Amino acid sequence: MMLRRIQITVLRGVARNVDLLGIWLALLVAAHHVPVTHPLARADLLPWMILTLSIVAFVRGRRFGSGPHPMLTPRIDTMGSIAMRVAYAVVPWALMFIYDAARFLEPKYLGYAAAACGVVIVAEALGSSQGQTAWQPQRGAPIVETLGTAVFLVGAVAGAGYVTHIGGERIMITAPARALVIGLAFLGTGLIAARIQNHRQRVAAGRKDSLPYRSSKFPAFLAVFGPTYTFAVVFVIVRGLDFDQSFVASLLVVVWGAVVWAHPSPIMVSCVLHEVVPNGGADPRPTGGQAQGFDAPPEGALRFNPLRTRRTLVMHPWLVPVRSSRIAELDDPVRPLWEEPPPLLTDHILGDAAFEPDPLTRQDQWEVLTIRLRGRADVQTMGSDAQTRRMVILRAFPAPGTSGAARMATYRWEDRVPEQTVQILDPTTEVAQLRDGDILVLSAEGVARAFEVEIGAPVYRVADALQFRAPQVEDYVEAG
Amino acid sequence: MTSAGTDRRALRSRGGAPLRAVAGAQLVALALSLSGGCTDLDEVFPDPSLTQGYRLVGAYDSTALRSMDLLIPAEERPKPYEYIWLPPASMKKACGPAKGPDGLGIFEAEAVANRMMPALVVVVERQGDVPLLDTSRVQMAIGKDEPQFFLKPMVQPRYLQLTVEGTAEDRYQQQVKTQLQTYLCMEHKTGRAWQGGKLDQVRQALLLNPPDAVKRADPDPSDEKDDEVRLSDRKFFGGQSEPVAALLGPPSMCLSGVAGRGERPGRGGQGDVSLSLVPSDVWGASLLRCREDVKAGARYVGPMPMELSLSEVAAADDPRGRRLLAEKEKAAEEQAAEAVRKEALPENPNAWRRTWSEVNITVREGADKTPGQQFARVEFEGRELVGEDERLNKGTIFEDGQMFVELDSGEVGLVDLVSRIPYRYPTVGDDFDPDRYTVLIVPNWQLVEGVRRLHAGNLEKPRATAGEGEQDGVGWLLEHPESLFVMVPRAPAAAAAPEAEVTSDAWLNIAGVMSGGALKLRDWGYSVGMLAGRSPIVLPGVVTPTWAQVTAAQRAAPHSMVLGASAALLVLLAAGIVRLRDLWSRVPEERVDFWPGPPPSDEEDKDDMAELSKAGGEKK
Repeated sequence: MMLRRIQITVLRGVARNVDLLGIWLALLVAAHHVPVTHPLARADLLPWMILTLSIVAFVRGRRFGSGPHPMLTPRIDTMGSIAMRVAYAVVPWALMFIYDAARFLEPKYLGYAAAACGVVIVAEALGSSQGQTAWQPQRGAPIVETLGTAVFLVGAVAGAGYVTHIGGERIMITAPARALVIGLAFLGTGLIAARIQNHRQRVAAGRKDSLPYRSSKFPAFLAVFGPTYTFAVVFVIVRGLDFDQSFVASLLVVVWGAVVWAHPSPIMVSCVLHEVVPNGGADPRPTGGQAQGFDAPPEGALRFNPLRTRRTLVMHPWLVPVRSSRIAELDDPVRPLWEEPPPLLTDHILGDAAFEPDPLTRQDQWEVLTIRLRGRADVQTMGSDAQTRRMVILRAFPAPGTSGAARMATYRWEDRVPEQTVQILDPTTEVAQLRDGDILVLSAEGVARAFEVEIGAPVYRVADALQFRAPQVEDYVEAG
Repeated sequence: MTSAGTDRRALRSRGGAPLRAVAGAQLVALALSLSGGCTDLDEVFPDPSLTQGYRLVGAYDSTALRSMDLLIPAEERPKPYEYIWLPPASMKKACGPAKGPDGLGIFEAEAVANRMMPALVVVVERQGDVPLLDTSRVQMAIGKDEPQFFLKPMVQPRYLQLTVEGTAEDRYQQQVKTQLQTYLCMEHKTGRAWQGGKLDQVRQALLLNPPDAVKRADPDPSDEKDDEVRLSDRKFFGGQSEPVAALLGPPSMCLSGVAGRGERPGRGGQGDVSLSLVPSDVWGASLLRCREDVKAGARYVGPMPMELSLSEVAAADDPRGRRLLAEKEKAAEEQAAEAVRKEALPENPNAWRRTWSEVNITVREGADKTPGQQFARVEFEGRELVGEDERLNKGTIFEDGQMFVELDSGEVGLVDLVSRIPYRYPTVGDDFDPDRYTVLIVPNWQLVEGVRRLHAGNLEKPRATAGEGEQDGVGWLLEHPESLFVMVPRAPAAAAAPEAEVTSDAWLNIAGVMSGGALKLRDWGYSVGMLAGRSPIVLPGVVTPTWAQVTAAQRAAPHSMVLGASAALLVLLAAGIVRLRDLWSRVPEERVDFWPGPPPSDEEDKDDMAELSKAGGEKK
């Protein structure tokens, strides 16, 4: 069980961070083409780590805090978003140049740092509309907060550089100093994405339990001290790390990028039920109506194979909530600004459908859709004759990692297929699980309809989810 | 090495520890390192900069790299002739003209420098405080599973000031002088190093023997002498058999004085037309008397040897490196100024790279005047002798031994004193360590001969070279790196070089990294291993090799492409493996009687649903 849990955790982690994995692989390949005299190939690995962090920040960078009040709709600006990402990517360079200026006492690095800061300011100004919300509970520019943060970052980085300068390049000084630069670069990237307006909104709204709102400090704390500690240990213990081992440094940066800016869990996932019809599969016609034994397959029926289907133009969009193992009220206890809308209808034709947390790891997942059938009542609405009404979920192949044991066949002529590939929903069924590509077959009185499940894009904002109309039973079952 | 292997195993064994334990170990390690200076941790993660030894950092064909125009900016592309062998006037006057092989008219150094012949360049990095690689501390060979055919890389020319003195009779001193004049003039004439050897080897190496004969494939039966033919020339050094070290430039020697002997007038060779050596070339040899200012460590201002250029190294553009470089330059200037004051060395701090060396031969008489009672002592002072000082070392290279030994034929012969005078392999480096990299250059013909002997299974018998068989020995060796052996002392810091006989206890093959280990993954990736893949290369010429040449020599581009492709392949493989059972897994089916659906399209030849629908209707 433990191994299975680790396996699932690793595989899911890789799947959700495939973008960072791609970045690391690209850097691994590119490192061999960087000339030895290129500034990126500096032996202290700092430029290479900053480059890695810069790319990671461009792809993943975002604020540490909770963002605007959840009931406010943030403004979406594509160009603004790109500009902000540019700002995220340049912040680490600015900090590194400040560090270099203090370390080498060369004025040209100050020039580089000033240029980088200029780019950050311009990019942030261009991207200021991205994520902007309407409510300004408190007027006034956050000059003190902004200046204080900037002075802290610059002072810390410059101090690290100057200590390295006077420390004579000793490893016990350079290693923690370099590590600190990386940690502060993580912090700076997150802070540049923050908005004081968001904090003020939450402070003004207060908490549901009437206590004053306090923002979480842990993400910023983790962003600074996590990478700093890791790199300090690595640089101190593993002597002689230079550009030949650049892939080690970039891997550590990428891993910390995945931790600091973890892939967010969606609140819902767009799903679609495509109506499908079989594409072939007819059994031979009856040959005279002679009685056949139970060891021969019935003749004259249509064999429905999930791999031989054809979609019709009929489709039913469906928004399935992702249930977290955490309690949302505790995660974001901000007081609502107005009366909350009624919760989304999650009931489906078959019952309560949701992406439930992985039972092994208790992590959020949106690969397996769970339908909790409400006992016999829901199923019986399809009819009372079990011989003529049947609901089956077909899965072409068992999911990777699941058991491949064959299910017990009813008839001798039936193929022994893996148990995981067929779910028969009868009055005793309580839970059904759907994966992407599964086929739901509903048959009554010998007439059948089938639907293919497509699990689509995640939805991260409540505002997007609220505009969706939940499907109803009538969408799937014809009257009568 | 053993302890490093143990450390690595210890390191690997930690991989399976729970994450908690690793995190705890990190914490303890950090605390230890912060408080105790990492004393214990260095055993597990040794600092590479503290490693002592020699490391192979490059193996490539210099001619191919220099000839790839695409890798070189137009203004830096090599000229047709970049290096011309110009022997010193004094040597021409004393020994006669220098002579290249027939039909080619150039020396091996010219052929290599001007890209006329493939040349294998092997670059060895010196790490830590270990002696330079002189001819006794490195051996190159090719072979199957073991070194079998030993190669002779090119060596730096020597500038020798010779003195013969002592109490022995004049005739013995004259014999020593004749040996010096004869052998050293041969170096001048052929551009090859005198390193001794068997009679046939020496005669062949110094062009005293004609090229090897070649068996005719279709001899004329009427002509008895037609069954074999001797190569009419030595074009591309064909017909050479035994490896001999070529000089990178013209040598220069002079006699400082021989007790009771004056300078012989130059009675050099027989002219420039006949390039094959004749006996009078040998016996007419002489050496001029040295000028007064010639002494050990004095700057040599004669013709230059072939230039070797190192590609850029990492420290050149590192701000930290620049600062250290400035400090080093300042220290070097102070040291040079001090040296000028004390020993009147030239002001140029790099002048010591081409300096005179002093050979002092003292002959003494033993119990009587017979040849067996004559003893010689040879002292050497110069840069060729490896020692503590990079510039000048003094030592005895022949310790009061018998001058004459009995030969197999029963005759008495003079000991070869010249072959004991050390040579030096070319070294290059950055400003921090000018001798950091030793360059071993092997001309193609040596490799061709070795490869042919390996193929023939007879390592002793020279092979005929009439254009048959392997022609590109360098290319063959780079394709079969497991056949290359570059052996250095297993105890690199030891002052004394190991015995010449190659044993695994005394010698370490540093070319093993090219073979790729257990899986033989040698056809991709850095040619000399990951840890040395970004090391610089050395090419003949004055132009600094470009980064494109470095990547081509080290095979960095294929390495990166294979890494990327391997990663993609791994992903696909993993995806395939987890879906492997789908290949034999049965697909479930559901049987129903009727399926309402769209009408059949015209394109379909047969529509099962329509037929079934129709059948269902008829049934009703």
